[in-house]
Amino acid sequence: MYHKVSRFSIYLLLSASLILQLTVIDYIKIFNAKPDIMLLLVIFFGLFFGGSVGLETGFAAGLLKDILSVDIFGINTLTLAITGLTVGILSPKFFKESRITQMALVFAFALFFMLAHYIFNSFISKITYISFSEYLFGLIIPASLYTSFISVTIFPILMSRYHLEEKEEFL
Amino acid sequence: MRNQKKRIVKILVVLSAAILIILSSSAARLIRINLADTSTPLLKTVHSFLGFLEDIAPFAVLREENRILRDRIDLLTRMAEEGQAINDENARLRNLLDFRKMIPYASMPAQVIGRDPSNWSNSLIIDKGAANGVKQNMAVMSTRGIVGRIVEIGKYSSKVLLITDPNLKVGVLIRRNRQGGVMVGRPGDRCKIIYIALDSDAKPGDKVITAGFGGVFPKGILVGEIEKVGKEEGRLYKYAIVKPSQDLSKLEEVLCIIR
Repeated sequence: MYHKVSRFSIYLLLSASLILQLTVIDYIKIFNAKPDIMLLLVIFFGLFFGGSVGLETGFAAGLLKDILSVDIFGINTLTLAITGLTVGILSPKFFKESRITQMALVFAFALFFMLAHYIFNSFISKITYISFSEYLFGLIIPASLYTSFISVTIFPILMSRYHLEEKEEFL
Repeated sequence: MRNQKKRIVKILVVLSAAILIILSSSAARLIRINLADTSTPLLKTVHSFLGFLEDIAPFAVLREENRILRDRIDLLTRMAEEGQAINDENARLRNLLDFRKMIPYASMPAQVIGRDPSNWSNSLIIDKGAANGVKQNMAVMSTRGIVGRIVEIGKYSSKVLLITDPNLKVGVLIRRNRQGGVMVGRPGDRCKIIYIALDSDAKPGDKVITAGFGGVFPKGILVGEIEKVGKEEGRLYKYAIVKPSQDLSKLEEVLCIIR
């Protein structure tokens, strides 16, 4: 059984994270990778509020990204919506309250999102002069790792905001 | 059962909408330009607010020191810091102005107000649009070299596709041996020159400049420096990895070249 969440708070968080992505995220690049806060939110809402919320959050986050990016229009909408839905469908199978599990899940779903993006992108844009390994080691793995590390600081804040922390008697 | 059906319908509707967006690229592009343009005032406000935060950050530190030492010297230090920040900005703008006078093309200065939110593409949002005379495919450069080209224009803002984006191709020359190639963006804030002849003696440290083909980028502008040269299996050409002449993720002001 999932908790309820207000749409307003989802869209507010997405807008705030979009502003962060547009302005300051580039300044905290490590090894040329930047964390994806919007993807992190999609994974969080899918994980704790189910596939339906994950799908909607992914769709909205992707659409916002597509509007302000020069990426193929719609590609983020599709891939983030699929990611949000997948996270939500698979979430009952995990003990998601553990920080280590959360990090591992964020890494896995970030990889999933990026690989899905790569596949759609190669179907549509047909860039052949950059090999898959260049994308994998230059972008996909570093960005997924960085996003999963960032989840250590963001997930606890969101969990406490939505009262999702496990009660002591269950620990 | 009914809930299940409702959920499946929702999933189908959302995914079909996403696919439709991809398929209707020209209409979507028009909507994107207009929507992105409406966010310009917000981005400008956030940009000024960040500038303001940057200005007051040293003050906070100095105020703390002042509270501890209660000394007049600290007050003077704070004033010096304040002056330094203004001096830095002045120097940066003067540099841009000098550079603008130096280059043989008319140019228009613009401020960077946003960056690409996606990991997959590299672009900048600048505060000049069609209302200021920005045109499609205008070359954009900084004091240290080429930056990219204009790809989407709103009324008051535009998007610049950076040279590190895999969708941007630039004709380039290796300055030392005048050998040419095509440079494309590559993940990891680097560029890659493809189609370098197998007998080329290109080596790390060689400077790369624009070739002037295609009519977008003027000839002879610095692009960067070769970091590595190699050959991919099954290809008849060599490739070179190029480090751009500047860190494109930290650009604050750029020049749009009017040709």
